[in-house]
Amino acid sequence: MTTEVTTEANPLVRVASLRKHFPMGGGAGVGLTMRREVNKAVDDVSFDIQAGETLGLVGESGSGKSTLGRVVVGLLPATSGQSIIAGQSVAKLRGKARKALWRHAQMVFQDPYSSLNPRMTVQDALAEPLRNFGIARGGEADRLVREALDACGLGARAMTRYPREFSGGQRQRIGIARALIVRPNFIVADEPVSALDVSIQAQIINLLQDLKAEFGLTYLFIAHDLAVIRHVSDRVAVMYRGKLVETAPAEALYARPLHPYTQLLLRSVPVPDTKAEAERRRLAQGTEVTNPEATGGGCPFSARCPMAQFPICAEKAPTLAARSGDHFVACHFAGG
Amino acid sequence: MSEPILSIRDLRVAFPRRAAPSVTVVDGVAFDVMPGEIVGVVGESGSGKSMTARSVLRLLPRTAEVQGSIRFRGDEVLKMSPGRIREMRGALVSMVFQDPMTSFNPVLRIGDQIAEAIAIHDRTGRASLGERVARLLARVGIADPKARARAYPHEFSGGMRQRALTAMAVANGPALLIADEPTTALDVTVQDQILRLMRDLNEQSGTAILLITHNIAVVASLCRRLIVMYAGRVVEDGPTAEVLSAPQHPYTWSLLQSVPRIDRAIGRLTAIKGQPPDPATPPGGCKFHPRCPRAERRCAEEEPPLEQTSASHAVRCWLRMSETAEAAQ
Repeated sequence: MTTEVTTEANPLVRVASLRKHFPMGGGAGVGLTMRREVNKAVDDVSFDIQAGETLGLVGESGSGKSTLGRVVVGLLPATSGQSIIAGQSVAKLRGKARKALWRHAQMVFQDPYSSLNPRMTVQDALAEPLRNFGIARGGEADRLVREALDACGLGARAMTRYPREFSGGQRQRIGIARALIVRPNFIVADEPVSALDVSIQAQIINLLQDLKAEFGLTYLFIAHDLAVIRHVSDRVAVMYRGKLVETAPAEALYARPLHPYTQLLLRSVPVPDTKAEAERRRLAQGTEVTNPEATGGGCPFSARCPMAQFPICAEKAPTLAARSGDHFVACHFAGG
Repeated sequence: MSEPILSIRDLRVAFPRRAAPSVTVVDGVAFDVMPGEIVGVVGESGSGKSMTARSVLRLLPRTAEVQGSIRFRGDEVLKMSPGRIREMRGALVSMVFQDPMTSFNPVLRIGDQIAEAIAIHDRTGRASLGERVARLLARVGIADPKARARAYPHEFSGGMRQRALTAMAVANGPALLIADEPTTALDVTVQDQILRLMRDLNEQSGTAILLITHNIAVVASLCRRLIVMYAGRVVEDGPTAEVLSAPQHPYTWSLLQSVPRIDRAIGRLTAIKGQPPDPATPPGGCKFHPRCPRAERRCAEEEPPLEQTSASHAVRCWLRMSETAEAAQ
């Protein structure tokens, strides 16, 4: 495996004008002459991730964040645009070259139970990618399996057991070990802790951070939990209805959110401290947004936006533009 | 002081197993809810919090063995006839669940289902039912309520379904609303709307609320009192502000240390080692001792009782944390 030196101009991951459109349910009544509606799950998204960086991708359900994660690593084909990992365009790779890419880019899912074959022991599940990628077999594979389990806090005893014999937290450790065993440099983690109990979430978050330090990993960390995203991310991208509306270093985004949608998200989250929570509620007084209906063209947030001015916000979609340094916002008015 | 609206004493819920001792999922739970009070019960999966909530409306699986006492306005719920229970459900005590999709019948219009919920307990004004449904939907913030009442559940977004379900739950002006993870499946902006709605209901109608959640921040937002459950037991019970700022049980303290904060950057999370015990094979002594950073020999041998540490605060721990060292961080 080659370790590439990346600079700002040469990021480990570059996503350029990526789109993923799904046809919408074409049931009865959809004739040939009718234009089929499309769901723009990912709609012209661009970002870079530097080697060693964690980019947090946050958004509500239906924002397209999970689809984006899958398109980035090539688990779903893009409608248009590019995802380039370590200099190689994911869409253009076929056969062996594609396999080689997946040695570099792996995924960790929300529910490892559904991504692990219930009839495979942990040992077989972890040795499978080693065999598939021609990395190791036999005794050497066993040694690597033991190493990966150990790195993820599981003993060698786990090897002969089946996924159902483990708790949710341990299964997520197995899922992470399986991604880690091919020694990728990039991992897309899609809601890796959201199905876990609070006390187990912290274990897995700490594990992912330890592994990042130990193996020099780069993460695209996808989650709906804004506190988790703040905690793990160097930089944060906020997604709304298929588009990135704001990207900024984590501290800047949480200290001074510029996009009205980011502001809405942040003031919606209660905090586990009664004084701070009372203050949050006071500040949020009278700011309830009650009309979350979709719009046609223009800014996807315009129908809910307290700052919207018409007609521009309903007609012209704003593009992500720098406000200060590396703080980018897609809004005609925010932070201007 | 007034009488509690709900009084639970020594509640024990167990499930029998074939050829094995039964599994106890709720063990000796006791607490009161006063009229108009909002009480939050926090715990992880297996803590027994949902089973406790369901016991109040006798909504447990048939096989459950329930012992102890649950009094609603002084009446023993566990001894009520099925008819009395039906009268109580929806009219005096109602419940909202995590997933509003499974709580509505998918083939009936939302408005008709709410109307039915009203008519079951109130046969007086069938003619004005439509009006009452529209008023309820408007009250939970659903725009154009008359038209929306004609929609089917799948035509509502998750947030609208949860609002409609809440509208149905409060249709008969219950004295107590039991909400079991009412916002867990919702986006944060919708969660905020539901929390506001519950706060308004409490302030305007004096509805007492028993809120079951895994999310401590939601309790901080809504509840004056916080009950922490672990492995079927209440381990701490006190005023929310006090429990959050100076937790006395190491589990409460650890739980607070293990959640990332949205309002400030924190260093490495302090994770709780291990996992919650399997209810079929609970550890001896204090149920938390295998995971407790402070456990001593006594903790493994003898289970501590839930002890009052002040008039309003109780803790189940031999080595409870004072306002010194750890509690102050």
